[in-house]
Amino acid sequence: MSIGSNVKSRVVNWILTVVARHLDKQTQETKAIISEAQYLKVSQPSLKTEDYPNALQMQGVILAHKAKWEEVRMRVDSTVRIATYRLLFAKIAILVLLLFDENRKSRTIFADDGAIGRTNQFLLDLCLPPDRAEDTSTALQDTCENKWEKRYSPREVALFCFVQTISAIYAYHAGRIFKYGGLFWVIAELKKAFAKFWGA
Amino acid sequence: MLGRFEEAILLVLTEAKGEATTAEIYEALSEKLRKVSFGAIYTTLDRMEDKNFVTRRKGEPLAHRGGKARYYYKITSDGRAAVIESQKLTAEWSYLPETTTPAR
Repeated sequence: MSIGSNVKSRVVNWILTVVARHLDKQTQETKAIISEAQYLKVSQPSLKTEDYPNALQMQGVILAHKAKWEEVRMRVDSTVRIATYRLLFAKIAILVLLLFDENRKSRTIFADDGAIGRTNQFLLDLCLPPDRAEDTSTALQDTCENKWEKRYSPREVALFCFVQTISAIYAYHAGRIFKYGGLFWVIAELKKAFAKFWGA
Repeated sequence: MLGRFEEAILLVLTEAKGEATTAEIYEALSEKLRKVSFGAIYTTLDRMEDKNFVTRRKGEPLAHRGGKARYYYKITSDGRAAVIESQKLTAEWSYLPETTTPAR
């Protein structure tokens, strides 16, 4: 069963609304910074020595002006950085949601009541591609029924399931990160996912 | 050149008439080795799939698993050749006494 498209679009819309609200705030902030920068440009201190009673005062005025410019520059930097982080968080949230939705299409009955439990199934669906999640899920369930449930208590079975779930997830991602050169692979995967999402 | 774990998995597949599920591989290995994890099995199977020592196929959807299917791994002719080569290599040192000093 898949997440209803209505729910999915509502969640995506909510994320986009939150991002839009933050971007609005930052647009206003940017406008304020630009007008301050324009004012600073217009009100540049004179560089003529005759306008000042002495060199010390001239130096003081120029340094104060420079400090204001520096402050504006820092505010621009931080605004851009915050906007980038917020966009990134929004993109990651949407990505995770899409991946989870894709994997949930074959959500199993035992995921609710059986040995593997909701948490493990959720983790598998969230962190693995559909075929590997499906393989791990059935393999864990088979092992539970054929072996663990006959030898161990339910608590121990749950623990084994959890440990093996984490092990399968870790092995999948660590294997690929080392194989494809870490960051480059992550960037490529993100690009692919965004292209798929925005193109659809 | 095969790793010991790779060889063990290929031997399990050979024993299971050439094809086995991940759960069957896990159960067979955990009988013989002390610590086995699904992660290690998947990492090794992925690597051997790249080397063309094993192939994977999806089984039929299972009603009692909510429509999810099992995946079957099968040893290829390259995989068999690799196992034979590895065993030949081990056999070349078979003249060594069994009581060679174990690591302490």
